[in-house]
Amino acid sequence: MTSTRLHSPGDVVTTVCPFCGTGCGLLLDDGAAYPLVNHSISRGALCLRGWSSGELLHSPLRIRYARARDRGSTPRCVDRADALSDVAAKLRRLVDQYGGECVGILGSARITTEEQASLRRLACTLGTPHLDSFQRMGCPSSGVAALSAVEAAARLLVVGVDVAARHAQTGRRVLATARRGSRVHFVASRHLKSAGKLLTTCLPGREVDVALRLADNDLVLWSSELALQGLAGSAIRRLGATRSHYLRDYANQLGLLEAGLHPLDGGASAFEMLHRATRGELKALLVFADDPFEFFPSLAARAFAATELVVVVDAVETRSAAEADVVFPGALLAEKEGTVHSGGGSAGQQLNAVQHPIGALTEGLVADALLERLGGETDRTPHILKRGPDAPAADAPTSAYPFIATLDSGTLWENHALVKATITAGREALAGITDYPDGYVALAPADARTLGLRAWAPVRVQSDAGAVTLTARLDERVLEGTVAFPMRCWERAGTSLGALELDPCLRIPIFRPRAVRLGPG
Amino acid sequence: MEISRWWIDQPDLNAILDELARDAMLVAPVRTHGEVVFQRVSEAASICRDYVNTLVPPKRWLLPEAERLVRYHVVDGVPSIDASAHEEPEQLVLFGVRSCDAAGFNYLTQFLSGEMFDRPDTGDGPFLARRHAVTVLSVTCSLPGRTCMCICCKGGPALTSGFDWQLTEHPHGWYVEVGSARGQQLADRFAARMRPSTDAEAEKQRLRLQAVVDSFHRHSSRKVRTMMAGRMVSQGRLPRDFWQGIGEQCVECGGCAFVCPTCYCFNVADVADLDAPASEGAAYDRVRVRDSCQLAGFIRQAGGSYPRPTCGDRCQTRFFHKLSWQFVDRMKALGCTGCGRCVQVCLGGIGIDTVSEDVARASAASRTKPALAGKRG
Repeated sequence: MTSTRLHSPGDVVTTVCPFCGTGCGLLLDDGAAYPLVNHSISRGALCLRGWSSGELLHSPLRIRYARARDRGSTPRCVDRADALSDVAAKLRRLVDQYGGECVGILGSARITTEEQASLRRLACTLGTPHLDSFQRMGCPSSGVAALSAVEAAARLLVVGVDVAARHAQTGRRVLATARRGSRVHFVASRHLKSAGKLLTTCLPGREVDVALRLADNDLVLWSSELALQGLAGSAIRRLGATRSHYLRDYANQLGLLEAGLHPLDGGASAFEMLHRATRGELKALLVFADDPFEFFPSLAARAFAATELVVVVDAVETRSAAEADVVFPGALLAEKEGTVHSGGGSAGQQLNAVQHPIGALTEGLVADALLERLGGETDRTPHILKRGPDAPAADAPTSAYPFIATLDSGTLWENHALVKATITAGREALAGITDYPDGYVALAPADARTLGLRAWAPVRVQSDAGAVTLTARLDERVLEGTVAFPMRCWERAGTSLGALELDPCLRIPIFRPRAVRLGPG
Repeated sequence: MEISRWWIDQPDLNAILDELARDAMLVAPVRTHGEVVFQRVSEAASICRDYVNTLVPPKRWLLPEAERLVRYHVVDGVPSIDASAHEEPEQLVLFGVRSCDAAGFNYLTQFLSGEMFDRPDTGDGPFLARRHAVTVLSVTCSLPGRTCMCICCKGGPALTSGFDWQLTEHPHGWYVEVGSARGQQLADRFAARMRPSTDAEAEKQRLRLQAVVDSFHRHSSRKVRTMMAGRMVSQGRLPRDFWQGIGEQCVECGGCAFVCPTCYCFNVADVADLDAPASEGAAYDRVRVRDSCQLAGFIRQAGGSYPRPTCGDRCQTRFFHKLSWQFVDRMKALGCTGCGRCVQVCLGGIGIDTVSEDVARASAASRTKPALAGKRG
């Protein structure tokens, strides 16, 4: 089966960038992506992921056929309709035997809001409250300002986010605002690109406290970089009192909340679902364009192994797809009609399909086919994600543990499935993995000199809960007195140091900044 | 070749373009989705005439963003080249290319033909095949755009050589300069619709171009400081901190290189064709894709060393290629044609105008602070 064009070769079509939640407008000309000039967000510019997004349409890492396998055997191509009926029958049998709560559904911010709503209906139909996505990260349901508000702000405070590197279109507007003479200030626990003298540094986990001291009717920009340290609750409550704007990580992250794709009443979050699965409490796991292996490879491997039926639907190959029992091809946003809640403000952008889905299915079509076979029920539950108490505070350094270890959330895209399916952006993202295949810990060069640690040498990082040994990477952006792990080492370092926890506020996994000491490995 | 000068009335030019379009060989600017892009056109009426320039550079018709260099199959571990996959490029006529882009074509040709090194045997086959199949009918601008700076870089508003036809629109027709044998062939084909230009029309043409230059100097706030910036980068007179400061503003998107008329960086990758029939064995395409010297992965060498480890180091290299006299000497032209696209796409605000201005400012500072001079990264 091959993809079929909706347009003739050489036709120019427009779409929305499938990567982060900024919502840049793309012009695709014979598979090559260019920024739309007359688009309120892209304005003729893209980040490298956007420039590479055209390569996704025909990437060899696209999933093209439905396949199934028996555990321990090689996958075989299967008829899509038969496989869908087979999956529906197995789900019905498991629900009849164990109850609806034996099924977990992981959705995604890479699909449309309509598809996310279908997954919610599927959860309601199966009678399971276990519905979530790892891509929800720390996205709150409110506090989403338009980019125009950034440009218009007289005072801007950018808290805990490398806005130039992670959210380049926002960074462009922040810089323009500063050049125009508005007061712009950055607060972060590492050195940031473009911030220069406008940066106030602090220890990891202290960003909100420092921001509150500086804020004076500022528009505050923050992102999952705070949430991943367990500061989401604090940021929502305390920065929300001023005007705050959450910078979204994934294309339709806000859609997850609009469609209610989060744990239903009494349901488990994405991270909790994996833990439940390892205990045998989940019998089936349906994964739609999410990849639990991206950040939690060990936990996901145990969860998949302990679950009777794992179904993955995705546009691109992932470790999850490789480990699944049944795989259906999904589709890219460019192959769909629907809504994505990316872009400035909370209004959705309408998608036009650039080409037919390469595998003739989409995540939404798979969900709808299962609903049809299971007898879809109406979603009657309220779309409210209840917030719990704040996560425990970050550690402070002590004489025994004088450094603070944190997560370098600037590496968010390093291991992302869509990025790896491109040539150029994929090469850039994979450079860190190629250079440090077993992970690394980033240190400030001055600290390394003081401790007599050399680049590429093994370093033992120890907290009061345990230790991890990784290769040393010297990084000018790391603050003295801190060390940082790339996000692919989140699970390994976080588990060893006792930093990997569940934030009870938004029920997302976090890396709580821990006090550590360093020594040769 | 000596340039010959002609006049074509508007209806005759439309007729020429219609005939080329009927031959399915005309590519011209078209307005679509609110953007202007170079597309194949089927009639002259669909050509967009009220544009300054396109963001999507016409160099993609000579050096595509992605192209297959070779296709091969692997059967039982043995690779074999699939010669049947080779396609000869189509004969095309590009109408409406601006002078800055036409100058870019010449720059690309100088490098990719091997002429830069007096080594034509090292010429890039796929590029040269496409270059030889394309006839360029460039059109001079009537007004400089918001980010245009060609006048600083000898990239416009008109070129003195290196075009097939160079057209300038006047109220009642087009002044046409024919500058190559290929252009002459086209002129011979449409001789009935052309006549030699008069001295009065040549004078009108001179005044017309002068008006564009005057307009640029009167209204444009953007400039490429080619002399002062060229001297500073050529002599390596900028301290490393200067380039690290520029690098701090770069977000490494690669956009400046992707849209630059003179950038030719590329990457080569082997990509599996999963749609190929199984009977042919595993099929792979070796593809060339656009790339940028600003990206760390482009610089990375086998074994994991980075000769230019910081973004600032890579910026230094990029602007050395754009502004240095060493490259002017090798390439016979400045590495910037002043199209201004890098200004449009840059998320960090470090287009060629800003950087050359910063270099010029550093030059002025170095005259008052001798310690600055001589420090190199």
